[in-house]
Amino acid sequence: MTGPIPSDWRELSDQEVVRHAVRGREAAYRELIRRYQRPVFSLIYRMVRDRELAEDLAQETFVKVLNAVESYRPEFKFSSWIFKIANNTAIDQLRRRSLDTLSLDGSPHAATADAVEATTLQISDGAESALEEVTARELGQQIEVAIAGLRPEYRACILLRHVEGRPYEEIAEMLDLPLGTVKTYIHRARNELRILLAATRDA
Amino acid sequence: MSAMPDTSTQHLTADELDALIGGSGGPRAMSHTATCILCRELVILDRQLVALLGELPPVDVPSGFEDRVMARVTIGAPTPVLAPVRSPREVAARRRVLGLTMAGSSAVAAGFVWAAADPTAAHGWSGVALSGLVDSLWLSVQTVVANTAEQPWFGAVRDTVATPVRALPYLLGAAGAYALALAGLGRLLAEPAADAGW
Repeated sequence: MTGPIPSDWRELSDQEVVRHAVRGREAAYRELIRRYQRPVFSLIYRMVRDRELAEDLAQETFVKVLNAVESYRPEFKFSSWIFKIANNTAIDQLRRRSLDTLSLDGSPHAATADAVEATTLQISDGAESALEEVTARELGQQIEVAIAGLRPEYRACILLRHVEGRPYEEIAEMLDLPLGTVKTYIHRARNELRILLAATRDA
Repeated sequence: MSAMPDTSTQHLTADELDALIGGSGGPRAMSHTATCILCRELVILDRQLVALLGELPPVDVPSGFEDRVMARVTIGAPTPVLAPVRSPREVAARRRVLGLTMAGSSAVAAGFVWAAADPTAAHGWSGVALSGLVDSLWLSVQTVVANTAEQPWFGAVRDTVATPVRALPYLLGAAGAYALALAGLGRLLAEPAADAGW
């Protein structure tokens, strides 16, 4: 028994979509990707700062999650599970390759001008005036630069808390850290960001 | 009766700062920021920073991403049941518990062997060194030892390991088995891959 096929997947909770995926429905798999591709890709990109690599790691994250969807435990949030795997994948990569340079201007692994162009950070267009757009872009880039200067642990915490809007308790669970440590990391990250931002603006 | 300490001059704690950034805050934090220019500035700056972070645009997902993922996913295939994956902290905690349990068991076993080998000395030591709860636990060990010593097979076993030379092979065998068991448990409790699930 596979049950009725939903007419609108968007109305279903993550748990319900996962149940359909476990029954082998391709549409459910695609719905999970659609729901999480943007936040997962954004998180990973901001962790590794290489668009090409971020795509590989994001793909790896989804493949791991979707191929093991039957082992998902519904008592936990699906978002926590996928973010945890995404973060672990990114941290693992950072440890392996010790990436510590910023690459807003394209992948450091890009060999040609086209490759650089293809790997340059692309952000969504907003409906802002030209001046606002420039200001917002500059501020956004300053923030991206400042985040890139943080330790990976701080980076993960601050991104999950203030960019993804996850509660402290969930972050602690995702990163397998004590709640107090998560709070400390976020507090320190904010302190560092304030200093780095001030320095960037002064420069 | 001692006077309550005046906390209004203490700077904001991290938790208070968090609460104020989120728009709430206890009366102490509120009254402190009303008078402390440093903390007030901190709250203002952190609010701006948090607002900036919250407004960071999502990064565009490369086109065709969904299809590339789907090409690598096996739909409906029986998913291998993942062994319960434990975090490094859980693994370390379990190892500590395991180590303590094994150390405790070894100590009890050593006491058992010692009491079996020389019940008189053991009794004497228990009278001097142990008291209260520990003494009663020791008494239990001695009772078990006494019961064991009365078993018909005990004499033969005792003769077999009566001298250090005779006991040595058994001790070496036991140590080897212990090491093998530790190695096996170590493999079972091996730290999971960082990218594993729960």
